[in-house]
Amino acid sequence: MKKPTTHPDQVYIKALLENDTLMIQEIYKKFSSKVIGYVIKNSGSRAQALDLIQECLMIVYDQAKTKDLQLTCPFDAYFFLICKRKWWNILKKKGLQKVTIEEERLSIVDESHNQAEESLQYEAQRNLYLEALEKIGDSCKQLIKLSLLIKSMQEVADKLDISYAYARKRKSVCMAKLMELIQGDPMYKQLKNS
Amino acid sequence: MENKFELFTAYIDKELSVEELKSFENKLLDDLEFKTAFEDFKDVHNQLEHFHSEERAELAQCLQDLGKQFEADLVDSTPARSLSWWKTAVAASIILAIGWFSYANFGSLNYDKMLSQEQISLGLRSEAADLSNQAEKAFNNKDYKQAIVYFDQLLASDAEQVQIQYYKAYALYKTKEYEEAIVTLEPIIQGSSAYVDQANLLKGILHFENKEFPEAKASLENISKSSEYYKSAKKLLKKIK
Repeated sequence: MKKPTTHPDQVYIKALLENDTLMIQEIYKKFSSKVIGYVIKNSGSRAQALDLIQECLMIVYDQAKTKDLQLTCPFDAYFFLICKRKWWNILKKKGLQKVTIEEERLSIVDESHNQAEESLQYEAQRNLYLEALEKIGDSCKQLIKLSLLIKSMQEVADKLDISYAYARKRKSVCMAKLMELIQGDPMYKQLKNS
Repeated sequence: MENKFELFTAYIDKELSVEELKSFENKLLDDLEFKTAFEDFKDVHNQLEHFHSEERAELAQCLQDLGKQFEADLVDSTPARSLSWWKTAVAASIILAIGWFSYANFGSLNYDKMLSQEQISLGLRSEAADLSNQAEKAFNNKDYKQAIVYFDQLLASDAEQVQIQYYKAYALYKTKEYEEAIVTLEPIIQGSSAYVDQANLLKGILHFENKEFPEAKASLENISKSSEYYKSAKKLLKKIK
C-alpha cells in the first residue's frame, strides 16, 4: 500500500517543534475558534477551551518530538478531533458526558480520525509511564527524575550524596522496577498492540 | 554486568566501554527478545526524559502566554452587550462617517493590521535567552533602532533564523530604512519557510511607500491565494491600479 505523503500543514508541527511564536499565534488565530465554540456549546467556558487547546498542542508537540509525527491530513480536522475527544473525556470523568458527540460515531473513519486516534493513544501510553513513575516510591522517583535532568551520573551521585557506583546500580534497579510496573499494567499491552 | 537493565541504563547513559558496547550492539542484532526489551525500555526513558526537559517547559510557557494573550484579544474584540440597538446604530454611523472621511481624504491603509503585526514573544532560547529577551522588550516598546542592534547580534550567532530576519526587516521598515529592509527580506522570500507570504507583503508595502509600483506589484502578486495576507495584498494592488 502506498505510504501517505506528508501534508503541507506539517508547517504547524514544525512551528511547535521550533517554538515559533509567530506561527503558533497563527495556529491560535486559525484553529481555536472552532474548539472554543465546541467547548462552550458543551458545558464549558472559554478559559477551559483555551486550557484544552494548550493541552492538545502539547500532545501534538510531544508526539512530534519523540515519535517524529508526520501529518498526513489537514491540521484543522486532526486538531479539532483531538480537542473534541479530550473534552469528551473530561466531561465523562465529571459525569457530564451528555454532549453532542453522536456525530462522532456516525462519521466516516478517515485519515484525520486515524491520526487523531494515534495521538490520543500516544498520550495514553505516555501518561501510563508518568503514573508508574509516581508509584515507584520516593527515592527511586527522585533518582530517576534527577538522572533525566542531569546527564552526568557523577553529578547525580554528588547531589544525592551517594557514591557513583551506588547511583548507577540504584538507577538500573529503579528503572527495572519502573518497567515492571508499566508492563504489568493491562492497559500497556492493549495500547502497544493497538 | 548482572542484568539487562544495568546494561540498558549504562548504554543510554553512554557509560559502556568500547568492548561492552560492541557486545551490546551484537546482542541487539542477534537476540530478538533482548532487542524488544531494549526498545520498550528506550521508549519509556525517552518519553520521560522529554517530558521533564527544559525545552518542553519552554514551549508550555510560550503556549500559556500566547493563550492568555489570545484570550485578552478575544475579550477586547467582544462587543459590549449592554448597548441598546439605537446606541449601537449611532456609534456605528459615527464610526462609518469617520472611516469614510479618513478614506476619502487620505486613502490610507493600516499596514500593521495588514501584516497582523502584534507584540512579539521570542521565547527563552537557551544560550541566547538574555539577548532574545532584550530584543523582544525593545521591539514591543517600539524602540526599533535598539531592537535592530539585538536582532543583528542574534543573527550573528545564527544567520538562518527566519523569524529574527523578518522582525529585523519589520523594525527597519519602522525606522524608514526601506532599502535595507528589502535586502533583509530577500533570503526569506527565496526560501520556503512559513514567512514567505508575509515577507512578500512587507516587501510590497516597502516598494509601494517608495513609489516603486511595478516592484510592489510583483511582490504582492507572489502571495499565494490561500494565504491570510492575500486579501491585504489585493487591497494594495487595487491602489496601484
